[in-house]
Amino acid sequence: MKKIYEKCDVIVIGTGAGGAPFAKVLAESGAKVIILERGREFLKVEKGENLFEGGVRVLSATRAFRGSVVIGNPPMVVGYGFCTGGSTAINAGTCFRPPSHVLKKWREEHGLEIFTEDYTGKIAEEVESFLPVKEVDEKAMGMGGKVFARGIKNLGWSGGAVKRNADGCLGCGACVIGCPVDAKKATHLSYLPAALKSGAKLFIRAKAEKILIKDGGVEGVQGIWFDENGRKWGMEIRSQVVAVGCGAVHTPILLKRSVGSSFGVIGKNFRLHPGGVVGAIFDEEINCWKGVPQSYYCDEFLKEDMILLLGAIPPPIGANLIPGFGMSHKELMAKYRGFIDAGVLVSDTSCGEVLSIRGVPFIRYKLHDADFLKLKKGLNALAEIFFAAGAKYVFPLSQRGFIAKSLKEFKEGVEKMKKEEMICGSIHPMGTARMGSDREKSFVNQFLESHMIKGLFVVDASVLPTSTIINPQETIMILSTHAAKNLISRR
Amino acid sequence: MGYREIFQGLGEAFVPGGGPFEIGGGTADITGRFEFFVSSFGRKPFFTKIFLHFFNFLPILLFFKPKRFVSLSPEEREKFLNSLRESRFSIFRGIYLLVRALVFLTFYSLKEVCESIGYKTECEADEKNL
Repeated sequence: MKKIYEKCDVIVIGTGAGGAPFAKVLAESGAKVIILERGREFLKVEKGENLFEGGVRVLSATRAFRGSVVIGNPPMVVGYGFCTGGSTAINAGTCFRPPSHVLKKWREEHGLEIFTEDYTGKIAEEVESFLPVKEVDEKAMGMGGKVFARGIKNLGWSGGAVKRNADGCLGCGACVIGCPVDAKKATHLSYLPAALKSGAKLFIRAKAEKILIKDGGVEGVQGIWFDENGRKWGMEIRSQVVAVGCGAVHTPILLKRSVGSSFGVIGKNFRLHPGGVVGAIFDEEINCWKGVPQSYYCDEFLKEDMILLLGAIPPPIGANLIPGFGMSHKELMAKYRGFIDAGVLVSDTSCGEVLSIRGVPFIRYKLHDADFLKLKKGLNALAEIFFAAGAKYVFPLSQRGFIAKSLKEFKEGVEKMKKEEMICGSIHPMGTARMGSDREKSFVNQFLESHMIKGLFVVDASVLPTSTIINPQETIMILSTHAAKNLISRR
Repeated sequence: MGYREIFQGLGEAFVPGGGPFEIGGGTADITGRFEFFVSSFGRKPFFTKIFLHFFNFLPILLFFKPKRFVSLSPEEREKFLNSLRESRFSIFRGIYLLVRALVFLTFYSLKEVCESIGYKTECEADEKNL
C-alpha cells in the first residue's frame, strides 16, 4: 500500500457541525488545514424526482445515514450522518441557541465560566449571520405549522416559528435526503466550501485510525484513504494540532484507540437526548408535506428540560405511527391529508456508555424513570396541543399503540404505558468526551482542548457536559467557532 | 413456498383490499418494491427471507396449530397478529412491529397508493408548493 505524507498546522477530522466551522475559522486565519472525512460526498434529490426513489438513490450512493444500536431499556437506535456535512446534511436545519439556564448550569456545575450569555450570544450572531439563520416565514410554514401554532395559542402556551439555516427554502420536505435547491446550508454547503476557498485541503473517504501522541502532545494522524478509483492509500499527516469532530458515537472510539483507556471519562456520560412522537388526524386538510417540515416549536416546558417540535413525515413512516393494522388502519391512512405529528425532546439525566467491538460502536444506556416520566409528560402536552387545535384522533408512538378521541382518554393510555413499550428515538448523541474544569470528570477544558494532551481538541457534540434540550446543531457550531478563535488568539 | 407469497400474505393481512381505496397489500407489488430498496443498497434479501419463513411458522410454534401463517383464514391472521401486538413478551411485539414496518414502508411508498391518499411523491421544490 502506497502512503501519503503531509505536514500542516491543523488536522480536522470530520466535516459536520463541529469539524467544518473549526476548519473554516482556522483556514481563514492563514493556517494550513487538512480535513479528513470518512464518509462519502453527500448528494441531493432532483426537482420532480420521486421522493422515495430519490431518497434511496441518495442514501444508497452516499451511505449517509448510519445508526448504532442502543442496548438497554427501552432498546433504541441512535442515528447520525456519515458523509460530508455529517449530521447537518441529513437534519431538518433547525437552529436554536443554547438556552440560558443550560449555560448557567455549565458555568456553575462544570466550571465553564467562559460561556456567559453575552459571550455565547456574540459567537451565535456570527454563526447565524454566516449561514444565515432565519425564522420560518408564514408563507413557508405550511398548514401543519399553522395548526400547531393555533393549538399552542389556544392553550396560552409559549412557542414560535423555528429558526433554520435554510433561507430560500421551497418547502418540498426533502431536507433529510438532500435539499434539491441547496437552500439548506448544511456544513458541506457553507463552512466546508469557505474553508476550501481559504486554502484548506479535503480528503473524502479518509479514515483517521490513530492520533499520534508523543511527550504529552499530538504530533499527527495516521489513517487510510480511498481515492476516486477506490485505490487504498496509507496516510501519515504531521501536525501539532488535531481537532476531532467525528460525532459523539465515533469520537470516543478514535480517542480510546489513540490514547488508550487510561482516561476513564472517554465514552462515558453518553446522553441520548431521547424523544417521543405523537400523531394526530384532523378533519381539515393539512397536507403536512407542503411547507417546512419542522416549522414551529413550543418552549412552554423548556425550564422543565423539554421542548416540543412539530414534524412532518411521509406516508410510509406515518403509517407506522398510526396504531394497529387492517381496515381500521387503512381508513385512518385515507385521511392522511389531515395528518400531522410532533415530537418531544427531553434533556436526559440518564447516562450511557459508547463501547466498540472491532471499531463497530454500540451503546449501553438505560432510561431513568425520571426521564421516562418527563417523556410521558411531553406526550401528554403534545396531545393537549393537538386537541386544543381541533384534532379528531391523537395517538402516541408506542409498541402496543392506542387511538384517543379525548385528552382524558390519551392521558389514561399514556399512564398505563410501560417503559419497555415506549418507542424512543435519538438523533442527537452527545457527551462522550465532555468539557469541564475538573480533570477527573472531563476530557477537555472550556477551550475544547484536552486536559492531558496538548494540541488535541474535541469539537463535536461529545464535549457537551449536559444535554442541550434543544437541537444541538447551532450549539456545536458555536463551541467549535469559539475553540478555533481561541486557538488563533493563542498562536 | 417462496418468501414472496408470505410477504404478499402479510400485505393482505395488514392492508386489506377495498374500503376507502381499492388497492390492498395482497395485490400491490410490495415484494418488488422491497427488492428494489434492498438491491439499491447492493444487498440481497437473504436475512429477510429467513425471517419471513420463520414468521410463517410462528403460528405453529405459538398456538400449536398445524397451520402456517399463509394458510390461516383472514380472521385467524387478524387474531394471530393481535396476539403478537398485545403479547407480554417484548420479542413478539418487536416481531409484530418489524413485519408491520416491512409492509407499510413498501406499500405506502408505492406511487399509486400515495396518490390515492392525496400525497404527491414528486419533489415539488417550487414556489407554487408554498
